[in-house]
Amino acid sequence: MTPAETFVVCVGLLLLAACLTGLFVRRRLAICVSFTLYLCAVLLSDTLVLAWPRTFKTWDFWVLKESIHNILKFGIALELTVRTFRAFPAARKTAAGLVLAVLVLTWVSVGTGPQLEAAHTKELALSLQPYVLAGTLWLFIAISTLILWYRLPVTPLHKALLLGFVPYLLIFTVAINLLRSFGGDVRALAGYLKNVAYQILLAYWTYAAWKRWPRRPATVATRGAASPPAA
Amino acid sequence: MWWMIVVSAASCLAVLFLFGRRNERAVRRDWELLLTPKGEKLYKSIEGRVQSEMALADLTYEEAFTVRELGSVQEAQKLLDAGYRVIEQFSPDMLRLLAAMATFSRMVSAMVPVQPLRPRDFRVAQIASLAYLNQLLHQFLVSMSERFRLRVYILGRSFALATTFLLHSTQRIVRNEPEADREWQQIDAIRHDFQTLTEESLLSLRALLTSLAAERHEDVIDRL
Repeated sequence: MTPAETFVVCVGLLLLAACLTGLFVRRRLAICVSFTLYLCAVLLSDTLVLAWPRTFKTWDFWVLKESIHNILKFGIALELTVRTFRAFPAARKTAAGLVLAVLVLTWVSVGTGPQLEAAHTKELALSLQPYVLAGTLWLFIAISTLILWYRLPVTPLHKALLLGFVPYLLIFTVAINLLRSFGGDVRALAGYLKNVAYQILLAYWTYAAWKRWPRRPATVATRGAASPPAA
Repeated sequence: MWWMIVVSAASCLAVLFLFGRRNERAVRRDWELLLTPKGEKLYKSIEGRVQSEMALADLTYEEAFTVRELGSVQEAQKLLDAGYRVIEQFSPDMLRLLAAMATFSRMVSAMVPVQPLRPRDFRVAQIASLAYLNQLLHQFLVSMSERFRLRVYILGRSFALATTFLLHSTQRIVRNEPEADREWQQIDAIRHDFQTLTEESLLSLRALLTSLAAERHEDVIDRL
């Protein structure tokens, strides 16, 4: 690893650790379990690459870690859907249909292309990754759209996750496509773009994890006492 | 692949813009009002405020009509203008309330049945026509939520229409344009229709609050 690469990875690790500490200190680890797992997975994989680059800085390991990260990202999207919509039967039906549609669309776009015929792990990873990322991005966009449409309340952390993942996944998708389609300077530019976006994303999440939330209103104490107005 | 990126980028920008400028505090406050006993208080406070504003407008218009009959045209015009000011402030509030009702009605899985507006309750021809339209479209809609939203939409359009007519009639009378008698009659008809529209809006609000309260939203209350 070059010194610049090491520096970038170290900054990322520090931000990840700060974010996890923030979630722990503010007792927010359970607000989105998949997100906590995702942060732990990224922290572990980046630490392995930093500590033993000869063993772990390989395409095989990259594919493995990205697959796990992608599954966890999908998990975050699904957990956000469940947590946000479970109390609203009407919105829940729409959300379920939309999530299913996005999953089918992703599966179709991944399954029908020539990308599965790639011979090497690197080619396969670079071919599949954009489709999976785009699918995850659509899932986050669909959830955000429904939250806006139904004017649903969300916790600040859930909002930070949606606002963070949507632009980051878009930039990641563009970067991966640039990596796949071009070489030389464009490839280097794509790498920088992705890294800058990643550091900004981690800084934003760290801020969200540590930020104090507004105090809960007193009406929470009246839970379950809602009654219909006299008709 | 690039078409996917273009579509994603466009949606991404739209979502970021709308989500970023959304006021979370206002969203929480609205839900809190709807899902706790505050909802009932809210209904009573809206009902009280709306009725007192309508009573104020009514009083002003009654006075204007009486003064006009007594022959003091200028005084009547002043009172008419004052009445219009009350309605001018009241109408946007009602439109905002109706818009919020339409938004929250999306959340209800089982809406209390609502009846369409009855044309015979309205005196202004255009508003009665909208009520006819409501009755007609009501038959084509399947779900109660859609029918509710149609009713709320028609109420909103009717409020806007009534305010515009009221402004035109008031201006014509203040400018001493010919056929003032007809404008006074028109104002009387609009006043009546405003009252009906207000009552129908409150009825819709009550239906929405009843439907929301009937659902289990403890989880949301917890989150709030």
